[in-house]
Amino acid sequence: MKAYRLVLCLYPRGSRLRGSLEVERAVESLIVEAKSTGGRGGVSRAWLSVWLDVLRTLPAEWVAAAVRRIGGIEGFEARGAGHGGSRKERMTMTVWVTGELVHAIRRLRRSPGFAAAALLTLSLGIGSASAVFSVVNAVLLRPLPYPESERLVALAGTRSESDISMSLLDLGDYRERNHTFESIAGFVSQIFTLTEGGPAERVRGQAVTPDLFETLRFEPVLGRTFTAEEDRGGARVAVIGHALWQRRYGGDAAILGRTLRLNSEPYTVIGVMPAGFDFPGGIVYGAAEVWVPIGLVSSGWTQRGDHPGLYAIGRLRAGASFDAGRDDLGSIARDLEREYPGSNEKIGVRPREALDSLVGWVRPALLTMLAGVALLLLIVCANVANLLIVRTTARGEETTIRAALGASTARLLAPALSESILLSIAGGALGLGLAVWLIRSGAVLLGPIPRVDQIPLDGRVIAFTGAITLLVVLLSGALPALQTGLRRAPALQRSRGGTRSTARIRSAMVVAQVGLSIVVLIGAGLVVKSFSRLLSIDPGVRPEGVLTFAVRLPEAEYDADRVRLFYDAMFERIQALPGVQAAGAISVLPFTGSGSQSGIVAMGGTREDERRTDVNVVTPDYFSAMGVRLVAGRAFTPEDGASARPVVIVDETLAESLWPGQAALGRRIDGWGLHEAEVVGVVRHVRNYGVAADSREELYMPHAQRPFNAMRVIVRTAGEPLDHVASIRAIMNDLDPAVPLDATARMADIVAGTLAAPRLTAVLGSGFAGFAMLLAAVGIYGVMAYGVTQRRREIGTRVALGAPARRVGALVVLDGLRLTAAGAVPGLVVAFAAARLLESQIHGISPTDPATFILLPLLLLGVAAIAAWLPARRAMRVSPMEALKSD
Amino acid sequence: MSFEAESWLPLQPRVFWILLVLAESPLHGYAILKETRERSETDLKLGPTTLYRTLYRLVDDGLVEPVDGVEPGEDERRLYYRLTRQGRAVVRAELARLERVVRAGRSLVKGPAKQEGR
Repeated sequence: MKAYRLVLCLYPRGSRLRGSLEVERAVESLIVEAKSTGGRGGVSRAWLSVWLDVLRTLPAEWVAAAVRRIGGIEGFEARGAGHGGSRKERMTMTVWVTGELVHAIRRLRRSPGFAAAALLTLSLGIGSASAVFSVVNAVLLRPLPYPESERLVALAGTRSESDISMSLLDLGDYRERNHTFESIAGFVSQIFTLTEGGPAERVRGQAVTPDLFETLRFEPVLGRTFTAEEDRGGARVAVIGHALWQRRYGGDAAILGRTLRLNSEPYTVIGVMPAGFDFPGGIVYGAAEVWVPIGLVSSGWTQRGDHPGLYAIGRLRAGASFDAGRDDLGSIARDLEREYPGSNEKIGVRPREALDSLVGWVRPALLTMLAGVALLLLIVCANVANLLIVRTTARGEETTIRAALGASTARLLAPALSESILLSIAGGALGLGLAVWLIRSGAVLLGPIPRVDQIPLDGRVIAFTGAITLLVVLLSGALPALQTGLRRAPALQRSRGGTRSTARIRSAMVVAQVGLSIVVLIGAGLVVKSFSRLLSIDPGVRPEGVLTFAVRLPEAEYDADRVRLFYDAMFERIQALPGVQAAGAISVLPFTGSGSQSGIVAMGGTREDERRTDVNVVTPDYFSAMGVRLVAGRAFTPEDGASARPVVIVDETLAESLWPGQAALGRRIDGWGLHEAEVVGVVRHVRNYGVAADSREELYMPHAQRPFNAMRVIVRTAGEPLDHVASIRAIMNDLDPAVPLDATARMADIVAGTLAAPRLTAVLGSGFAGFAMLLAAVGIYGVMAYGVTQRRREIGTRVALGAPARRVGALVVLDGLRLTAAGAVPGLVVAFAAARLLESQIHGISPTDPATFILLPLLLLGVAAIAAWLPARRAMRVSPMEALKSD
Repeated sequence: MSFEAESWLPLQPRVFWILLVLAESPLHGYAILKETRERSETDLKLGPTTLYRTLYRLVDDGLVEPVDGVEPGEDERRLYYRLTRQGRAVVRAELARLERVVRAGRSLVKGPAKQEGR
């Protein structure tokens, strides 16, 4: 009600709605009645209609008021109730508005300094806001490329609340027993070596249940997808992706019916998916270009306790909410836990909205950036408002005279408003251009954030830019306009401008700027400090100069012995390359977000003592190639061969949790198919799931004792790792041309990729903070410089009366600092309260980190002192004679 | 200058309804709001600010005037409005115009017309 009363004062003078008690009472009655009949909902509906009503009438009344005034001598005669002025009057209006805008352009051209400063700040502010918003739009708001994708839910299994893959038998029960899903399709990642129709190529694929394509609502452009019979019968049929079809087969329609050799097995191509089909597209692990029936691989998954890397995606029924689906599956999971206590104890299911599972991890970082840029925009508004106020003040005399001669309020407001409109619109347009440039050049920074490869400049982004531009017009134009309103007050006597109210408004703007800057500064300070903490965390590996790539030997041709022979030969030749220091391999590359787990137990322990750890197979030189330090014992050697006794290496965290405070060397463990394997070494803990993420304890065993076909190779080189790709490719081709070299990357890039979100917030945050501080400094400088000009006379008098110059300067600087402090204190309070919101994004420091909260305000105070000192210097040079003469 | 009721026609729906409910008896603003909502039986949603904006216009145009005295028992904090002679003439003229429209319409569009409500 209070707000409504205030709004009533916003109606133009002369409008009888302005501050009308009558209207207020009617609204009061309306609300009272809504409360008695419609309850809470009724009241909010009533308020909504009241506010919409205000939105309709407020501008109309202003236009009417303007038209009434302009009518001037001819007078304004309403022809009839409800008719908004004659055509002639509307014409006058158009002419007037155009005229004002033309005048504004001329005025701006006469003061290019002001125009450039205002445009620069506006376009930087609007541009960065648009850029951040378009990233938010591309990543968080844009729907996934599947029809009605908001109904898609990604499913993973859980064990004791941490994610694992699903059991095929459990999946079958979820499919049958649920009431909320139309369909739930399962899939498991496959890596195929495609030989046929070109050189050997490693392609990613999936073995999927036949209903996957229907669940995603996608049909093949060519041919068909699998039938349930083909799935059950284990038919060797394949559906291929559009890109693979184009790349390898030139988009030839005769692909249908052709036989592909995948991992040396023949598959008949029955369908080609359309170009836009990208599944899993990051929603779950992996990527795929080939899909085969899951029946081909699932025959061995007979135990409910098997979790063979199977995941699922479901489509909710129309009208079923995500929460309902989650609860539904959750209760099935609990039933299964009761029915099969042996295999399903602590096993659950974790549904995630498909979009959320893709981008959920980066959402907090992006929203923080959006909040930061919003603060920045407010600072920009304050800054531009301040610049405009100076101009309005400079026009003071003119305005006062025009007011005295009877110019209407609309006429008096027009110059300030038209300037802010012109500047904001130009700033908005420039900002949009800047946003496009920022996105293009900042793409590197976005790194592995999903869906940033294509950031569209769509209607939503343009609408957003338009909306913030309008907001800037209102925020930056309102105060100067208000100030002009004040000037309607009688006085010619204070015509030289610089009235007290002006000074107060300008100081208030500066205080607001400083306050907002403090919030931005502290937010940025926290994320930057946290990022530097993250950088100083030891990832457990030394990734610089390390090349990594993937090798997969086809199972059909490589048995255990051949696998060992191949890798031995490969390492021997790679290690002989000039510039290569060490080469090894590991089954699951750390920092890629995936891992393989198993339950292990220290010998002599019971089932209750079982610990789930990450398990990995490594070659002898893996630790030296990756730079994982040995803490105790030894690394694997070639002597730890197939026929030797089983040995393992544990990392220090696993050693500590299995044998707290005791030596781990020489102990024995069971589990993961091992029996009484001896611990021969302890290595540093590797932060295997990313530097900022929780990591898992890890167990390693020698590759020779469990020869995996697929390994990630690690090559430590001197110099640029990627320079060695060609010579390694030649070696591989020499060993077996059917084995492709795949997924080559710098290890350092992979490790850095895990810090993408904190890096983004840190880099953008410090950019915002720098800009905010600059604007605050400019604001302080402006106000102080202006104050010095205004007080020339006073300063001159002081100097004439013998005040030392230094003291005069100090006075000005102190004034500036006082303004800064006035803004900094509330800014600190807000920052203190808001820092909690950053909690999820900062690591290793408290959101109320004292150093940040003390040092950054001091920094701002220092900058403020400099900004105030520049005008102070001028004040010190004021010659009393000239100052006193000038007035 | 003589007053010509026809020069005001056609009336905007909200203007028409305000004049119509005032034709019965003088009302204060909130009552006008309620009456127009109930009588019109349509979704003519008159907001309070729009109502007063229109009402003040009508006062300026001389179709409506505030009532000076307050009847005993009435809420004396509220200002009542009633139709002026001109206002009444305008309502009548608009009603007559609408009747002509309805007559013309009926003769052109035959068939079982649903006359009341929906």
